[in-house]
Amino acid sequence: MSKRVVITGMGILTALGRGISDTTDALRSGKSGISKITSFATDRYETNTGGEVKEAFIDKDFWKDRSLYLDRASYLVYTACKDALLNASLNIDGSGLLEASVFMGTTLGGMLSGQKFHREYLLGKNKENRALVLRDHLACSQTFSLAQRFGFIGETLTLNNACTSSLSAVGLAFRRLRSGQISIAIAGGFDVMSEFTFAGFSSLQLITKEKCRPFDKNRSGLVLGEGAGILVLEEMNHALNRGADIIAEIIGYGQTSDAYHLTKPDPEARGACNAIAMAVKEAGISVREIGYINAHGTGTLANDPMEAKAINMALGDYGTKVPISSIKPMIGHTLGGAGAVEVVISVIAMKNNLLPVNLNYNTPDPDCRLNIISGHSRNEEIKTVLSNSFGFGGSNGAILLNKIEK
Amino acid sequence: MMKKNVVITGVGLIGDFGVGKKDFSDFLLHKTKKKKIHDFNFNNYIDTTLLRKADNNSCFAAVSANLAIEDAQLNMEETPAERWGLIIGTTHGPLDYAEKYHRELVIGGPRMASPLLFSNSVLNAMASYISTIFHIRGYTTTLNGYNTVSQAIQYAVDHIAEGIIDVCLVVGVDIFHDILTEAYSCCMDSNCQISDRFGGSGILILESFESARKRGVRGYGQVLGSETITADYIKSMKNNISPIKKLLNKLEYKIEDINCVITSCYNSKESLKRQNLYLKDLGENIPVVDCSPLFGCTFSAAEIFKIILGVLSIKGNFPLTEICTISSEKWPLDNILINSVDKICSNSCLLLERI
Repeated sequence: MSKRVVITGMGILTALGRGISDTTDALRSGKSGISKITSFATDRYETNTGGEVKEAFIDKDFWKDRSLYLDRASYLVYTACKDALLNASLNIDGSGLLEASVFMGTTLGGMLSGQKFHREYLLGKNKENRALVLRDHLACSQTFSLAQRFGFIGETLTLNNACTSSLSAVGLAFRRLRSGQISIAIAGGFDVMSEFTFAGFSSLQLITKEKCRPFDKNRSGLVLGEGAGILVLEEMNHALNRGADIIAEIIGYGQTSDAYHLTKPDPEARGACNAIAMAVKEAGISVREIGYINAHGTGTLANDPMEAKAINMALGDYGTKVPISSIKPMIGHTLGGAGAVEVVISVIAMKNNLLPVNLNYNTPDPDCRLNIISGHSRNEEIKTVLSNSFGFGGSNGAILLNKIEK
Repeated sequence: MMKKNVVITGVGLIGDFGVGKKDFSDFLLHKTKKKKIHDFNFNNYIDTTLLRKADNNSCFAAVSANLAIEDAQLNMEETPAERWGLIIGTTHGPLDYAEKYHRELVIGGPRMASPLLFSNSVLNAMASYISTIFHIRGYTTTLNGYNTVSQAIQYAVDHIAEGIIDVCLVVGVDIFHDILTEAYSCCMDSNCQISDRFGGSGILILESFESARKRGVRGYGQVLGSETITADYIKSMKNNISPIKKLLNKLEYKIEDINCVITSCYNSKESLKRQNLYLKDLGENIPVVDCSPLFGCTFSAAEIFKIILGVLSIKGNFPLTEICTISSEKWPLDNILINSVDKICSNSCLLLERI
């Protein structure tokens, strides 16, 4: 018999701010956190905007004796994790053992450290100390640090499925909890703004020179962001037994591969459609129960019509009616962190009956036949939300979340 | 719904020992190495049309996948693409491409940064190549860490047992190159001797017992279960926790039920202490094969090679008695416990049983 899996804590850190309250206010007002990038020099690039997390929001008390080499990624994920644990009324001092497993998704891990090491290596600088920064470079490093810092002793895992990474992490945690193999998990993901990625996406001509406008006929690309989203997931009885406040329930998850191309999505949208269909099937609901879709919606020429097609195929006629928006014009594309960040945002939307606006949407695209939430955010009763994530390498994920009636 | 038993039906591997099971066995028995990394001509093993832009990790993984599928006597077309899964475990991924791309960016500036190198430097590029070549459209994921393969096997078992996929390729891959030598040798960890290691790739094919039986394939062994805990030596000792104890409790096995242990740990004092702590619980009567000297610090490749040694041995295809002390009356073995202790704090074990 499958177990029920609930969310009992959430932490979020993006260009919109830190925590549930700041994020809810920003979603309600339709604020954008996109501004000029300050973390590296952008004068050699054709564009210079992104969604960076403000330094003031980041907690630096992570691990004092490791502060010489901890990557910015570690601080981002630590801050969000600490908030999620507090939100779930769990201990944050790391003094005890918590049987929690940790599932984190990231594309880059400690890329800023790797970038620094390699730059100094190439330029022959700082030979004595440069390898120190490598200690936090590997994608798995931040996950291990979290587990050590907070005293988690379950399994520790880092997933790298490009921009689907953190949704994959939440999905895998959901599966482990649902099958009864574990009873509590910390799941989510993160990624930092780095020149490595910015230059790469620029070389692929995927970054817009203007505003990011997902699903708009005149869209011209994505805007990069950074951030972290963390969820505390528990098997329902585990949560009830410890008197936890249950925020929402995960009811279905689907993950597939396009088997198509290294960077381009399958224009036929078969894999994406299957991921959505798998989530719906597992949830055992009618597609008409879905009240809102939080789209992957990158604003690139290839992603948006593919996603629209997947939704239309998976949900039938209802796919053109269900309200949908992408929050990437507000926070940028947080890459490996996007999936979990957007699950947190989906839960906020559901809890507050808030349909967040798809900023900068002006001109409908006949290739994206969807009910885009344009103009401003609005209030509407939502019981069930679908959140999608798609990534390089043809990685597709879809998750269904349900409101818990108290 | 009744959960399915999951068996291993295919093995494919490639490394500096050579290509395939025979070369691997020869290496284990006689310590002979047949290949060097630059000697490999991938065209001899697989159609490389789709791999012409791929990094070495993807090429090695593709060759071993081909060998494993052949070994399992699987006809890819008999199972829908959506029912195939792929889980890749790697410690460093395509670092060679990341290094080349970043070198262009630093030296030549943004205009010289290659989109091809960038997209190949993403950690799941291997998954993209393998899924495209072998038409795998089901659950596909890439795991990063030091002993990800044991975990990958557990997730493959879960997904098959729950009916989400029918067949799963589990990959362990790591290839060395200059930047890693620089990184590990200069200060990151002087204990890590990697100069004569280049890693390689190994693949296991997992499917349900029923599906293998229908195809008339017996398989190598059954995966009974696995367990992973996160704890360094001090935490393990103070709290008396061990992945082995946890697994045996979960499976309701007693220590004396274990026939043999195959183990390895990272080449550091802390990891060795952790490994010894966990093995101490098993007493002195269970034969232990220490794979650390065999595969060195080849990370995810070392882990899959160690597991493949267990897989071949549980079926009796490799004479484990030749490399460790096992009394002849215990052979063939009923089960083998495979133990992995990583560099930081992750400890895994899995139990294989003879079919």
